[in-house]
Amino acid sequence: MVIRGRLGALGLALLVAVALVPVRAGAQAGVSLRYYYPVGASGPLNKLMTEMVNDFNGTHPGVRVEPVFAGNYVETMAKAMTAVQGGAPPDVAVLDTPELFSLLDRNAIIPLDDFIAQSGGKAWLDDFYQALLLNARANGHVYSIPWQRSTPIFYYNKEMFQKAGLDPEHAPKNWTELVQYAQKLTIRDSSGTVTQWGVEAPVADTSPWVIQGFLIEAGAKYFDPNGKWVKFNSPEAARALQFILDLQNKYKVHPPGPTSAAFWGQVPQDFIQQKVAMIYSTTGNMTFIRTNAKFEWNAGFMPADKQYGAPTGGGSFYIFDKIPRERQVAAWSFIRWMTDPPQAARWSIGTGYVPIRKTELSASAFKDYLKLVPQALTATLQLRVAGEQMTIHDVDQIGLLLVTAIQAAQSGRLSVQAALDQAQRDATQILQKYQ
Amino acid sequence: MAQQTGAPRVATGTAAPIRTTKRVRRRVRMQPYLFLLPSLVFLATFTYYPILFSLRLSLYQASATVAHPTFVGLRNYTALWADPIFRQVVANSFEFLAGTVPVTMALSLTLAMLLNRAHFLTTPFRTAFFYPTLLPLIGAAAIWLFVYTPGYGLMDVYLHRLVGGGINWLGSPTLALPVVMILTIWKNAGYYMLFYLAGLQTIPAELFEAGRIEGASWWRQFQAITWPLLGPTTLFVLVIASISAFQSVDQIWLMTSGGPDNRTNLLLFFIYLVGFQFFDLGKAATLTVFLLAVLMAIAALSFGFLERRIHYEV
Amino acid sequence: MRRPKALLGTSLWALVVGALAFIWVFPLLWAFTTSLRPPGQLGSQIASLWVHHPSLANFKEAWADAPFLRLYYNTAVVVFGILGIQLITITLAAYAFARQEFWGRELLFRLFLLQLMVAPAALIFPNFQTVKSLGLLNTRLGIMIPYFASAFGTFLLRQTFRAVPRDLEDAASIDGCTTLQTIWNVFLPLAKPTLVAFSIVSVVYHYNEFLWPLIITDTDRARTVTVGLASFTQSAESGAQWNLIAAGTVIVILPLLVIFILFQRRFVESFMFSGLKG
Repeated sequence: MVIRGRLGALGLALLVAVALVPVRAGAQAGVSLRYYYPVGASGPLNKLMTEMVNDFNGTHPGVRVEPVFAGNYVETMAKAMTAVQGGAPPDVAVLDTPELFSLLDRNAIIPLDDFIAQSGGKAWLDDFYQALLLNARANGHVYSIPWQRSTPIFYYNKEMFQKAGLDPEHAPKNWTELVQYAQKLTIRDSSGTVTQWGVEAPVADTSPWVIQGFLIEAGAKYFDPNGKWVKFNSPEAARALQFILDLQNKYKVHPPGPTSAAFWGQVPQDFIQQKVAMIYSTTGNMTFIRTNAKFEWNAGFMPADKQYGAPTGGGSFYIFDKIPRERQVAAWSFIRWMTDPPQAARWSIGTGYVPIRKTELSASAFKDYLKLVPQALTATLQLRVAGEQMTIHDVDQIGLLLVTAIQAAQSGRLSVQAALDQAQRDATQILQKYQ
Repeated sequence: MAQQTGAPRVATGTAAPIRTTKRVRRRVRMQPYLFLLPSLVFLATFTYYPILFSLRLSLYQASATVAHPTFVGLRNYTALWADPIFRQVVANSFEFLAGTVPVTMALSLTLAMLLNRAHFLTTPFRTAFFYPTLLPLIGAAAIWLFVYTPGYGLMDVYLHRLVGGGINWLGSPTLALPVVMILTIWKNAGYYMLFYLAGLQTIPAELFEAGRIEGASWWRQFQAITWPLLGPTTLFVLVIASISAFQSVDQIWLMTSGGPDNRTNLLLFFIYLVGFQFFDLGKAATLTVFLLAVLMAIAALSFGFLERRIHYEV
Repeated sequence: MRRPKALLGTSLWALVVGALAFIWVFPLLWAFTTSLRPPGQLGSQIASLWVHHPSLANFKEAWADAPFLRLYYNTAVVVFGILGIQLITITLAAYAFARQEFWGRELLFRLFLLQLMVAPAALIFPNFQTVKSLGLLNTRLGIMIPYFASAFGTFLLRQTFRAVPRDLEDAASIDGCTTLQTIWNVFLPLAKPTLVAFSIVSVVYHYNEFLWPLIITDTDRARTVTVGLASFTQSAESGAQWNLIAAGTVIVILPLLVIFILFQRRFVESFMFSGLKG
């Protein structure tokens, strides 16, 4: 009796154990992908990414994507490179699009031409906005597919415009108008302290992004599409940087001093705190502003100089090299699904990143979204005049040189020309080894 | 605790005990080394070897994008010397050292003296000054990031009458490093305060009694009694604070990324940038060697004094 | 005659020190109140210490946004794993230095001293390469391993061991104890205060460590709370969302603070003690 009881208990325990095992084994059958991505941890973006990945996993038995939030763009790149060098690369990642040459230098990624051909070839690729593909190509191959892309956009406080006697439906069209508007919108109290700034432009933080909009608008050709040279000290580039300085020091409509790493995060806060009337910030902040602004606001193109212009930004999908072929195939199915119009629309709507392909706009969900947030259309329209973001070898290190130059000029340590000349010298030295 | 060990206490035979004793003796001789072995293995791998590794790698040009490291002798060192960013980093690091160490020490000594009295409020006060030590520096930095936000940050909102409004603390090349120093001082003062409290409590009360009887002023007492007798503590805090000034850059990472214009770029942070974002391995090794040299210098300077102190203690 | 004056002196003292203490505590108070500030209230009151309708919504969202449970678990493994091994290595080494005569003792002691000056913190670059070649990247063991030996702990414990009365030790060996048994039964019990002090210092240090775990870990598999907090604070695209950041910060700093408040005296004594014998 006792023995049978004990055997029975043991048998039961074994049954339970066996019952548990297949669940785990089943999860391990099929392909498992490690996916690095750089999305803001706070706010709805991280949650949305996790939800979408879960949906993919749910609808694609046989593939399991493990999403890994890896910090901001620079950190995600650093992490991915460390993993590559450690011999354990991730399978698929969203990386800052300009990292193209750095990735190629380290033999980290594979060209996607075959996969694109299988998915509909040129017709499929043409559906993506061409501006977003500008820095996806090298050596005649396509290496990345756009994902969370953005441009800087010009947000402004309509109520402040009205109070200053300006037309709240139209943003300033060019640099001259920008100055005029900003002068009307900068308010000082009796002691001379500014209580409301006219404009804030975080032209650089740890990388030089917004400044590139000004460079493009001034007509500067500041880098080689093949990644081998830069030209930071042309007259056009100097004109752009001088304009920023003038906003700060000559017209005094922009907070003085160097644009710091903290400034980037501070600017949208200042906007919703109603400390500033007009700001340059990423389209990726649209949801944040929409949720928190307790006033009427609108968005417009970055005011033009010789032309309109804005750098594209944000991340694209890359597939890594030196991983089993079946994982690369699975990674492509993941990318394909994520960039399909329904998912792309879901992402754009949830985050405020620009739509990545034309058919996305015709999705009914997106049409409804545009009715709710008409400002989102502006970002899409600006893509027509957007320029390529600086994409070169060692882009992080050289980008930092430009950031330092901007900060040096803003602090007054160097003149505009001297600062840009310095950056040009240092950058050329670094790029020597790629000539 | 009567247990049988290796050698039986009473000789039972003749040949066996002699062999056993020799083996026991050898084991006893080896034992200290065996005891030190675990520590030494880890010390060798993660303290001694890295020093040698850095020295060797600093003689090569090695980066993630270059296929094979090439021997370049002392070229990394000369290149570093010529690098204006490096010079700025060194200047920043020593400015940081000079700005944080004396101020933190003076502050912690003052706090210790203020708290060196029996009163029920002393414990909560002590807690108030000490708790920042328990916060992760990155957490403290996250909070202070808001303190320094222009316009509506704590600094501006509460102190604008003193300092004027809307100052871009973290964006100003002249102010960024000092404000980072303030955060560091706030974080460490309570920790060193404890050492001074312990030191103060070792000073015999009779000395102060004698001073008071003689009618000596507070300052005179401090000069003649407190300060000299706190000598060992002061030295200890000086060494700890100096070493620590080169080893924590969490707040730089979070608040300024070394900017603006490289004005808050400290040595360890620069190593992080070069080694883990630019992947210039040769340069990172060279920088590490430089950092080690600085730390060794601090060690050498202070060990002269500490040596004497250890000797007359036990 | 003296009492009113003393009272005045004490009140002045309490006021001055109290004001200083308040300044010291202010940032923490702000973090707590902001974390309780409901999401829509990012307005101009953001710097005030008063919250109109305190809510836990930020905590809920912060908790959902980062895998804190996993991060806590990793941190606990790392912190207590390091401590566990450290206790073993320092006990053995401290005993050797305190009680045993052997060739090279002075030299080896000085070699230990080296780690006090050249902490693993300064050696992140070469140690990273070592951990990488050991195949321990992105693992908790990779984070822990440089810290398994502790010169600081060895010193502290050595001082304490030297003070153990010889007769206790002799009594133990007469009873037939091996060295290890003597250490276990005689030395360690007497060294309990030192061990507690060291443990507290070690736990606090490794709980709060940031840069090293940052570069070692890529994914949440081995990531610790401090690294999680940093990622949390630095979002890729959006602006600084202070109430969320405050909530995340509170989540990370709370455990140590709570333990500290409960065991205040122990904590303070530990840190004081670590300096006395330095």
